[in-house]
Amino acid sequence: MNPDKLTLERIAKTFAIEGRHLPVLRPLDLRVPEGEFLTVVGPSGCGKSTLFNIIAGLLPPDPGGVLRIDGRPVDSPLGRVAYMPQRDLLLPWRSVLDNAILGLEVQGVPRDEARRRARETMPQFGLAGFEDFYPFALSGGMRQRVALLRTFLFEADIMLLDEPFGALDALTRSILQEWLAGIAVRYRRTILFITHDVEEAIFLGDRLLVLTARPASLKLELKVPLPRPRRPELVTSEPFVALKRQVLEAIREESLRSFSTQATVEPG
Amino acid sequence: MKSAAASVRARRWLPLGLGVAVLLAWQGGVTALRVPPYLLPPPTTIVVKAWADREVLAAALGTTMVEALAGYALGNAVGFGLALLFFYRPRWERLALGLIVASNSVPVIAFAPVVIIWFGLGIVAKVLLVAFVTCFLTLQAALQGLRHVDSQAESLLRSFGAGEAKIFWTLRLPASLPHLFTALRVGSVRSVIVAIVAEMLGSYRGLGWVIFETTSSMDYLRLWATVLTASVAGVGFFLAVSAVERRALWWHVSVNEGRRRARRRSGGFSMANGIGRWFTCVALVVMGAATALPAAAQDRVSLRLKWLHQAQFAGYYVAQEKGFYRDERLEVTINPGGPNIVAENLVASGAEDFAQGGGIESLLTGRDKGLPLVASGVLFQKAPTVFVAKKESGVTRLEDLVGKKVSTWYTGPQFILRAMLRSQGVDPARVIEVPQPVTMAPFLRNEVTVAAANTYNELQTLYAEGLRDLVIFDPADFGIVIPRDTIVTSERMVREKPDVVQRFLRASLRGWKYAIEHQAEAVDIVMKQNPNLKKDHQTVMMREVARLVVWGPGKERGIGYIDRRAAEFTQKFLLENQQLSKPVALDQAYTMRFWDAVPVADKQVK
Repeated sequence: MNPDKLTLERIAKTFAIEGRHLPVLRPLDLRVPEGEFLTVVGPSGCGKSTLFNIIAGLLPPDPGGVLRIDGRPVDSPLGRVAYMPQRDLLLPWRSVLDNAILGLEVQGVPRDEARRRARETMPQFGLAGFEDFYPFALSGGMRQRVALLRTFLFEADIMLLDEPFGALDALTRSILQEWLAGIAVRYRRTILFITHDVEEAIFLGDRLLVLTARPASLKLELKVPLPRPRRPELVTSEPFVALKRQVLEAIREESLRSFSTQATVEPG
Repeated sequence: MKSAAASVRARRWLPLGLGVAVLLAWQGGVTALRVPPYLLPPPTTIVVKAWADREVLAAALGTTMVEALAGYALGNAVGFGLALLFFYRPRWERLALGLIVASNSVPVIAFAPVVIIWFGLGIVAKVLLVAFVTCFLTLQAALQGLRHVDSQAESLLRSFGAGEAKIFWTLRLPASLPHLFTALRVGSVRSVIVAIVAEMLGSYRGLGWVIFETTSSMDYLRLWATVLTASVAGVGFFLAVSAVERRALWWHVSVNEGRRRARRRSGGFSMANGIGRWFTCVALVVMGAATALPAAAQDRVSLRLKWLHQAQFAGYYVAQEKGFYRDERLEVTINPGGPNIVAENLVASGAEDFAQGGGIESLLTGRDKGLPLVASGVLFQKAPTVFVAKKESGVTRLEDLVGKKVSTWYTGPQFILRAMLRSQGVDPARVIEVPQPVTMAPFLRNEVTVAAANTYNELQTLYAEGLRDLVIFDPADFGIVIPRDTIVTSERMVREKPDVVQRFLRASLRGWKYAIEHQAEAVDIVMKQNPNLKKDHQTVMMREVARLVVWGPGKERGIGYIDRRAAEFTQKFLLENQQLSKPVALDQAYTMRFWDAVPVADKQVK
C-alpha cells in the first residue's frame, strides 16, 4: 500500500444563511493513497463541490478539521492541488498552448519552458497541431481536453476533477473516459473525480465513494477490483453490472431521501 | 449559396447605396425646387466650400481635435484609475458615487460656462470638460468590466496559487476590455461633440468657434462646410477606435460575429447612423422652414428680438402695452432671442416677420450672403461698444496703448479697435490684443490694461464695482459710427404686405418715443416681461439705450432714421476688413420709404 497522499480529518462545512445554520458537509474522514483514482458520486446538491472547494483551498473548512498532504497538515492547499471545475474556463484571448500553460505560468515556470513542456504533452491529449488555435474554434470535447491538459501540466500531485465531462454528448464522453483512464495509468497521479454518472465512476475509479444527501456524509465506500487497462466493453461485463447495481441502490435511497427532505425540512 | 452571398453583398453595400441616394436626392431636390442656398445648399456646393476654406477649417479642426484627444486621454486615464480604486476599495466608491452621479446627471453644457470662467478661453477648459465626460463613461464601463469577471475563472487562478496582481493581468484586465471599449467608442464621438460645444460657449478657435462665428455672421455655406468637417472628424475618430478595438478584441464574440457576417458591418452601420442623424437634422430644418414660410397671417405678425427680454427692446413692449399696435390693427407676438439665435436668419427664412437685428454691419453681411433682408429703420445711432482703461493705468490717449494688453470680443469689436488705432496713426500690431472672456475679471485684476465694454452692461458692472475713474474710448469720437439694432424684415414682406410693414414701423416708433419720454414707466413695462430682471440694471439700461437712440441723427431727424453716411461708412469699413466679398447695394439693403411715411409727431422726441 502506498503512503497517503491526502488525508482529511473531521473536515466539515456549515454555511450561515440569513442567520440560520445550514450544514452541508458532516465531519468526514478520508485517506487517499498516492496514485489512487478516487471517484465520488452522490445525489445532486449533496455538497460534492463544497468538498472539492475545501480540498482546493478555495473554501475554509469549519474549525477543527485538518487537511494533510503527504502526512503534514496544511493551512491552505492553494497552489498545491490541480483543480478543474465543471466548465472548461478557457481564456478566449489565449491560444490553446497558452491556455494550457496557465497553471505553470502562475507557478513561475518561465514561459518558454512551460510552452516546451506543453508541446511535448499535447499529443497524449490529442491536441497535436492545435497549439495555435483559439478556444472559439474548438469543439466541446477538445476544449475539455485543453482544460484537462492545463490541470495536468500544473505541477501538483493531487488532481481534483469536478464533473469534467458533464456537459459533453454521450459519444464524446465515453471516448474521453477511456482516454482519461489510460492517462491515469500512465502518469500515476492521485486523482479525485466527482461525477453523478455511476457508470463513469465505476469505469474510472480504483475506489468509489457514495455520499449521502445533504448534509453529506459517507454512505458507501467501494473498491473497484476491475483490471486495467479498461476497455469500453467492460461496462456490460458481469462484475461491472453487479457493482453498478450496488451503487445505484445506494444512490437511489439517498436521492429519494434528498427529494423528500427538500420537500419538507429544507431550511430555505 | 448564391442568394446568401448576394444578401451579404447587399448588407455591405446597402448603407453606402442609401447614403448616395440621399445625397443625390438632396442635390436634385434643392436644385429643382430652387431652395435658397441660405436654407439648404446642395452637397456639392458644401464640399467645394469646404475645399476652398480648407486652411481655416484645417486649423479649426486641429484645435478641436487636440482638445478632444487630450481630454479623451486624460478622461480615460482618470476614469480607469478611479475604476481600479473603487474596485479594490469599495468604500471609496460609496463615498464618491453620489457626487459623481450628481455631477454627471447635469448636461456638461450647464457648467461649461463656469469651467470657462475658471480656466479661461484657452484649451485647458475644453480639455477638462471633455475629460469630465469621458471619465464618467470609462469609470462606469471599466468598473462593470472588472466586476463581471467570471468568478469560477478567478477561483481557478487562485487554486493555482495566483495572487491578485497575477489575476489582474491575466484575467481581469483582458476580460474587462470589451466593456471598456464600448465606453471608448462612445467616448470618441462624445469628446468631439463636447469640445465643439465648449468652443461655441467660449473660445476664439476651433470648429465650435467657427460654427458660432459663421452663424452670427450668417455665412451659411461655411457653416455647412464646418458641420461637414465636424461630422467627418467625429466619424473618423469613432472608426479609428473601432479599428483598434477589432485588433485588440478579435477574440471577443461581438467582433467575431461581425467578422463572420460582414467585415465592415460595425463601421458601415455607424457611419450610416451618423449620416442618418445628420440628414434627419437637415430634414427637420427644411420641414420647419417649410411650415414657417406661409406663417405670415393677415394682421398677426411676429417680432423676434436679438436677445432675452430687457430694456434694450423697451419700445415694442410699450407699443404692445399702450395699444399702439392695436391702433394699427396688428396683433404682435414678441419672441425673445437667446444664445445661438440669430434673429435675421429667422426673418430671412420667413419664420418671423420682423426682428430687432444685429446692426447695419450684420444687415450688410447678410445681404452679401444672399439673405433677402430689408431694414426699415435702425434704433441705435451708434454702437454701444466702447473701450475702457483705468485712470491709474496712465492711459489717456490711444497712442498710450502701444505695448499694452487690450482685450476685445472677436465678434466684430476687434475691427473697431484696430480702426480706432489706425485713425490715430497707431499700428494695431503694436498693441497686444487678447480675447476677452465673458467676465470683466481680467480687467479688474489688471491682467489687461484696456477692455471692451458695452455701455449698458459691462460699463455699469465696472461702476457697480466702485470703479469711477475710467478713461472711455468711444469709437464714434474717432469717426467710427456703425448704427446698431436694425428693424428688419424680408423682401417678401415688403413686396407682399407693405402696409403691414408700414403699420408695424409706425406703432413701434411710437412705442420707442413713449418709452424714451417715460422711462420709469417703460422700465415697469419691461419688468412685466420678465419679473426676474433687476430693476436697477434695467433702469440704467433704459437710460443708456435712450441715449443711443436719440444720439446724432436720432435727435435731428427722428427715431429709427438710417443715416446714409453711417451706412456708407459701415460698408467701407466691412470691405476694408474683408467682412464683405463685394459692395452691397444699400438701396436694396434698406429703405426709408416706410420711415418717411411715419408722421413726425410719432418719431421725434421732444
